[in-house]
Amino acid sequence: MHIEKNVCDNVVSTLLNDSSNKCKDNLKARKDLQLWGNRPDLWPNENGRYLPAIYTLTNANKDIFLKTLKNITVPDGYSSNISRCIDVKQRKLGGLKSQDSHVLMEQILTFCVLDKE
Amino acid sequence: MGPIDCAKRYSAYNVNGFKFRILEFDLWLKTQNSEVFGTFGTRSYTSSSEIQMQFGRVLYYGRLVDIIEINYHGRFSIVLFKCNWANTTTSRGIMNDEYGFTLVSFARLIHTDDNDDDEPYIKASEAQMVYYVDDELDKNLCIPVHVKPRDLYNMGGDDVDNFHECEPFEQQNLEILFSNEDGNIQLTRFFFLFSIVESFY
Repeated sequence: MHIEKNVCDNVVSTLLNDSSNKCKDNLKARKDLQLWGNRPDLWPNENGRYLPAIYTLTNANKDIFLKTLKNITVPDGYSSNISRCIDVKQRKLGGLKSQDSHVLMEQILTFCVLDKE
Repeated sequence: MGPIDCAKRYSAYNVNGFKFRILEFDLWLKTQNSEVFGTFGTRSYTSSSEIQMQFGRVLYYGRLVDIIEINYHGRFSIVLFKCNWANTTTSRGIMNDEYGFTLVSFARLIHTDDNDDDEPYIKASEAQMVYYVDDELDKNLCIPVHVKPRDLYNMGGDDVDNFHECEPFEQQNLEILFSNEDGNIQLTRFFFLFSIVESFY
């Protein structure tokens, strides 16, 4: 029932690389890559540290990404007020409803991210 | 016999399944309902010496400023939308970026009613709704996102292909971006080399 919402949460969380367990780019995932002998540049070192992946946004880019989302105004009845779901200071995005996730995935997320490169 | 002298002005109007509101009212609100989009036939000449005229459909993006209803003595009435139109006839006003997204600039407007040729008004039935997402990097630019009306269903027929509630972006050219499929993509951010991310576990 909430597949789209969960995927959206995971994508956003992975992009922002936050500490919640929704972020799929974590130490365990990187260790799995090592186990499979795949993509050596993504492997963690022996201290359990690893390089950020190409899709992980830098802090500056995160700020632009979140600011773009924060400034979005949409027509009546399109989605909830997404700017309320964004914490620019802590660089977090939370409290989206399913419909917001749908709107984010289908329409907004693509150019919010592409903007920043 | 022309229309009667008095015309009605509205601040909001429901048409084509959308609710349009004028820009003046939208400024105070968290939602935006004043963004108008339409394709209109425009006469264009390929060069000044050419006699043959071309008639093409041009995309127009605008912001709704005024709604006027002209009454023809109670027999019928016409609702007109007055808009600030972005200059979508030049490459400065509308452009496609490298990812295939359309960017519209509202820095320069056209059809501002200064010349006799200008037509800032459109018929309400021709208006479609979009909303604009501001570009954080270039404040003049914004990206229009097209909206499909709610509770308006396509009952099949000729154009079954267009049956999307929200049109996903079609013109993305990811193949061009990632043309080298076989592992040549750089997977880590190398300018980060000295700031290795802390593990959260």
